[in-house]
Amino acid sequence: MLFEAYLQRKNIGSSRIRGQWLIDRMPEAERFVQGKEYETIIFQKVYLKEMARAFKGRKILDICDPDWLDGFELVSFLEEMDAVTVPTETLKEAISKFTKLPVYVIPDRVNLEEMNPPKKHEGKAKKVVWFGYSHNSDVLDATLLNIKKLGLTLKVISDGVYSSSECPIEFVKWDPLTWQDEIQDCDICLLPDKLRGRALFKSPNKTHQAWVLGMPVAKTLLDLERFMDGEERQKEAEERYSWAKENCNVDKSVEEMRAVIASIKK
Amino acid sequence: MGKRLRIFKSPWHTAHDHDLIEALSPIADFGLLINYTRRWDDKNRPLPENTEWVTHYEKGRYDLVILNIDQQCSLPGINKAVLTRQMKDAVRSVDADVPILFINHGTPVYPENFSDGTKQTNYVSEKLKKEILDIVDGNYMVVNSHQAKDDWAYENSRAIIHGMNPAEWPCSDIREPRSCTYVSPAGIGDKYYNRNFLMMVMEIMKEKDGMSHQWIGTPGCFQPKGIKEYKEFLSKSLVYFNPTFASPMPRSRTEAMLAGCCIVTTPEHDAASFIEDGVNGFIVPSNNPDYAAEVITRLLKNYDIAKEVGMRGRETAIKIFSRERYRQDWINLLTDLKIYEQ
Repeated sequence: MLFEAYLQRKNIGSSRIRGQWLIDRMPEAERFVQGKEYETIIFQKVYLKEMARAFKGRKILDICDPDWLDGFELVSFLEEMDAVTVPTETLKEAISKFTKLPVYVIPDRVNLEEMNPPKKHEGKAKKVVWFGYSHNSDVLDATLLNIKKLGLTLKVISDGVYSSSECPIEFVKWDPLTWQDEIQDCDICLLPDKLRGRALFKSPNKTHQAWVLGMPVAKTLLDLERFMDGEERQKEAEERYSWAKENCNVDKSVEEMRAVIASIKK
Repeated sequence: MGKRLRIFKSPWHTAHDHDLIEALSPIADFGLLINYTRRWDDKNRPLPENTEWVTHYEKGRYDLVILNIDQQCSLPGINKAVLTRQMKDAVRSVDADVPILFINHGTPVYPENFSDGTKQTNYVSEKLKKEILDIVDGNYMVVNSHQAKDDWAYENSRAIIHGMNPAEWPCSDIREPRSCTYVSPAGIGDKYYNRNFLMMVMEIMKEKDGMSHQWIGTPGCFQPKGIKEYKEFLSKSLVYFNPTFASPMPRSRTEAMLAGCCIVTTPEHDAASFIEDGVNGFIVPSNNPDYAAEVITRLLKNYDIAKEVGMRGRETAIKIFSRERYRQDWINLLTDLKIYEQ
């Protein structure tokens, strides 16, 4: 039961990464159809208490954000669950403090079948790209002067506009059909870490997606300076791509989710 | 009396659902689907006892599936459209035989989204009609006005007009000299609810006579905290104005009739068949705001006449919109469809 279906919205990142990509590689699973009978329901960030109470099969809460910080009654909801899955150790540690249920880490991974082949790099970098939800775009504010100093253009792929006069900026609305091409149209992914608040619970899924697309990921000014050179970018991209291909394949998540389901005896 | 029925349904419109479930309580139990689109508004209407919450459709457990639909279900992304389509798929994926009956309280009028051209005067869209009837897919359909049946022009259907319990709608002898309307301020279309017409009437009344017509629930007008306050307000209001154009048999008008308000209504969707102009209510054309405003203000100035007509309207409502007639209409339908044996 995906968060985006519950909210009746499209293109929610967590539903794609932690829901749809697994469903696509898991023939025995499907998006929840209201009225249909199931043996297991995975509530992906969906707190439908009435269903959680009444459903007799296996119940797993998949949570990728510290929703209790927003006032959701997580502990009460967990009373109705059999297991919890999370993408990071930080979330596992936090949730384990208020439940005795088993909490399993299933990292965010990537459906490799759905991704473009990795980009090939050459020449001096011209364009950096940031992608993500607009409520997270404030991480860019501190980078703009350096982007300008290096003579780069910043492309922002997001659900909401980001603008500033401090450096040249192109804005592109995130679209499921074009986001990969838009990223690969650039030379470097700029994904500075937020090191406070709720961001501490987040998984590095954007970094992994960028690596699968053959994009070097800059976190700091030093990274940016290094990736200005085409050979450096190609070397970094190749190394990261082979790591990501090995470690970020969503098929691993499918196996891990199957193990979680099998561990629940009903 | 035949075997007690089991009916699978989702919550849709709590007031209508409540009436249906309660009316059929002598012969049927309902399994209501827990879903993330439609909830039961139990603050205003308690869940009837012949109901249980269920997580899914179970083959062999039900004699009938009731699904709701209206013109908004033609918009693929809209929540309730998803619910209806998913429930139909869920049922048919495991059970090819159980009868599915659609309740359609809408009309094929949705000019904001389906304008087939300007040649039509009644705004019925053939394209919209086809899209909705494709979902209905040959199953039986219940509509809630005879005009709606004609507009849908779907053979496998009949009109069942709502039926209410008059005891639920208090009627006070104390009447405040005010006029009111309860029409959704959002949703479906302006033409369907004729909101522009309502706003013009309100402006004219304000400008000509300084009267503030109460569009219940909108800013600056009466905002009930719940159904109890709403009923009390209606029971003390002198005049109720129904401006709708394509809403088949608005239940708010019937509620106002039962509450003893003097009804001023547009004639569409059978209204002219039970309102005799000047006897138990007043009919005003749906495109003449000056005339509608004049009728309402005249009634507010002729208190005793308005009160008297209101009481006659209540008698009509008790007769025409009775719970017993409604129950029998449903039992007759279920019998005709060979789902129930009387």
